[in-house]
Amino acid sequence: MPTAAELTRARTARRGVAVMLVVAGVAACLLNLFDVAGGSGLRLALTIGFLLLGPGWAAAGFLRRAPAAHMWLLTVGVGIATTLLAAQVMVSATWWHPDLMLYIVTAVSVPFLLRHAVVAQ
Amino acid sequence: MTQQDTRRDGSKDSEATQVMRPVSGPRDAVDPPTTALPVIPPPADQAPPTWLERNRPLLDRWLAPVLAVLALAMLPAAIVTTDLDALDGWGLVKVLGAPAWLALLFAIGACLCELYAKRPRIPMLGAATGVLILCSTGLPSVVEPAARFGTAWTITGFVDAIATSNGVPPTGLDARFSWPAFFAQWAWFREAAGAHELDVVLRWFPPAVVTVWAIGIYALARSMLGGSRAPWVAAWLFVGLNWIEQDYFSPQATGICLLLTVLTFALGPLATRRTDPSGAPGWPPPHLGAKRLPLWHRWIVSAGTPPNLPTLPPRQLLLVYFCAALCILAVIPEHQLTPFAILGQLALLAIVGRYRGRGLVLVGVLGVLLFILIAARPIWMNQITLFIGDGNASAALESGVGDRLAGDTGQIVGKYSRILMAGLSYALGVFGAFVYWRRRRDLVPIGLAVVPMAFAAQGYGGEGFLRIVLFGLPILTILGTDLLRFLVRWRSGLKPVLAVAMVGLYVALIFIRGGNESYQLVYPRDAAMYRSVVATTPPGQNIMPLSDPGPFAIEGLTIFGRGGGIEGCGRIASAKDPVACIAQINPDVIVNFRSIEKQGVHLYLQQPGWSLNLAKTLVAQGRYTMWFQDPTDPFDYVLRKTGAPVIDGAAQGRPG
Repeated sequence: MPTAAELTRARTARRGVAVMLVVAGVAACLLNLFDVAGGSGLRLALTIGFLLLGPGWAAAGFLRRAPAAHMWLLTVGVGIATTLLAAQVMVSATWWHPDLMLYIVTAVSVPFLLRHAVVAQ
Repeated sequence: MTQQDTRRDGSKDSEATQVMRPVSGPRDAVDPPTTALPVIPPPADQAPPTWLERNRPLLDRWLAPVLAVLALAMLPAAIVTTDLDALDGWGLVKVLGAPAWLALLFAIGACLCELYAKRPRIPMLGAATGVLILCSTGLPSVVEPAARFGTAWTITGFVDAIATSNGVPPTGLDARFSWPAFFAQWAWFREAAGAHELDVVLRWFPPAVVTVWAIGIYALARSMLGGSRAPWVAAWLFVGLNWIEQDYFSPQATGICLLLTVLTFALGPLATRRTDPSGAPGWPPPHLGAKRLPLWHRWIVSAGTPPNLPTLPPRQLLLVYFCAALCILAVIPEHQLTPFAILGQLALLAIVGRYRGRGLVLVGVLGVLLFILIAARPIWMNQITLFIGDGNASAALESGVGDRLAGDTGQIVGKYSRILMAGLSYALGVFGAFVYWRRRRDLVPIGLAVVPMAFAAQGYGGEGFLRIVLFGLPILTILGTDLLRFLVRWRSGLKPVLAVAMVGLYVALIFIRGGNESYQLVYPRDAAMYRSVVATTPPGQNIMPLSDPGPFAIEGLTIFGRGGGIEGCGRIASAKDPVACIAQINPDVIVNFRSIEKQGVHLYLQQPGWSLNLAKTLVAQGRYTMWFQDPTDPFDYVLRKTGAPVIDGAAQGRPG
């Protein structure tokens, strides 16, 4: 059984990850909206990092007292799955709007991420 | 307490000095002597603590971090001391400098020091594992200037095709476009980030994705093996045995991430057993002394009995179900094989009642059927053998393994080593399954590893037989770790032997994975040259490489032809008469890279300089002109058909 101190550290870390992902998501959307630094490493890293981890952390943050490995695996798995399905929907519906889909994913994920930033399980 | 006044006993000399002395005997019953352990003086002949024993806390704290930092510090020196121009059929292992090997040794040392510490720290073990991955699987990404492996570059061409055609996958080009989710996903990322290429992503994708796999193996091993050390060993064993090279930028790489996610939660939080309410395994007899029910009856009853509920709260269960279903559904439009591997393993677990949530199998089967019948109807109509194979397992084995045993000595040794490594994986898994069975009376895990072998008859891609080891490798390595743990507990003296074996395994990994490096190596100048060809060639022309390595078709996939279709001329590098083949194919543009030259020499046993001689012959015949030749590398050249139009690249802009 983890000690109280370990649990507190884990909760603090979870809050930190949630806050960072919120910042990354908002930054990716703003950079996209104003078309700043197109193709730069920073914008690419922010966008890919948020899209692969943001939706996943929004879901995995609800896991209670899970080991860090489970948290991160679920984060990456759900992040990959969400973006694959979103991309497939855009292809199947012949509705190709990468910018809009980025905003949608951010808008859906950020409220949950903010919740996890306040209430870490 | 002391003796009472002795003057009362009628002593004659009442004025004499009385001595107060301790009493023995009667007072002991009231006030027993202390139970504290007596202080035992050290024997004179005891040896003083060794330096190692005295400094153990300090070493446990600092040795692993120092070794990990040293490993990272070696990497810049490894880049400088690796002579990529000297690559031959033996691959990367022959050209790596001493710093690269030192980095690997330090990384292994960091892992083992933390593992053998009195209290291993999880963050330190995680960091050491990351460094180990970077110094082994990720070594080509570090020492090479761009992403290796032509197929990874081809996939960026698929991504580019979807991005430039506004999300419409091209038809009739490649069967892989029938599962477009991965290409569309990265096209979306690329467009959302305002980027025009993914060269950096390609380069660092293998170590990143192997890190995710290692997290999955660790999480899975925590559930299956328990303990605080064995799961880390399982992750290192997996990384060491993963010679399969399916971690490049590809759908199957992310497919394995999804497979591990589903499997980890099925065997972890959702894991349960099918038992009676008292917790006894099996189905109880109807009454005392009754004859046991027939086997078929027990099976039917067992199949109809839902497994016990896991200990998770209902909301947590729902969350895990939802996430697992999402992963299964996402992998269906992404890759043709992975969904069947996941569903096969989940079905086996459902039959034996090892997890709660059999509905996930139903969700997956329905998803696959819907995708094949509706979204991918052309696949169903034309390419059904992609799923069921042609039933000729021996032919698949021959094309997947036998036909690949070609090339110079280095190539042959490397390819036999791959077969040996696959055999070692299965041997470890089988012996580990025996140990696991002795400990838990459970043979299901080896079944999980064997289920993907059903793909053996599926000949898609020609190398499916070797690839499928990857689907079973997670379970095989976990079982193998159980075997190693048994050995260490049986003979603790085996620890140093296993440490040396770990070094040997990782050296073999670098040899096998880097065995084809002479023709998988890509330079940034190769990609730049191909992009300039795309920018200056009128749409509709045929652009043909002399073989498949190198960054070919990374752009303009839909606007240029590739020639081909001539019997015996699939690869000019291996054709018997290259000049005649080119005359028949009649391409407008011929592209060559150094990697193609090396492939011809080391794999197809051509004379060194064969591609340059071919270019000279074609130019001498007057049919082609040398449009571009890299001043630093004569093997990087572009031939254009004499008189073929060339457009201004600057005015044309990006194709597509």
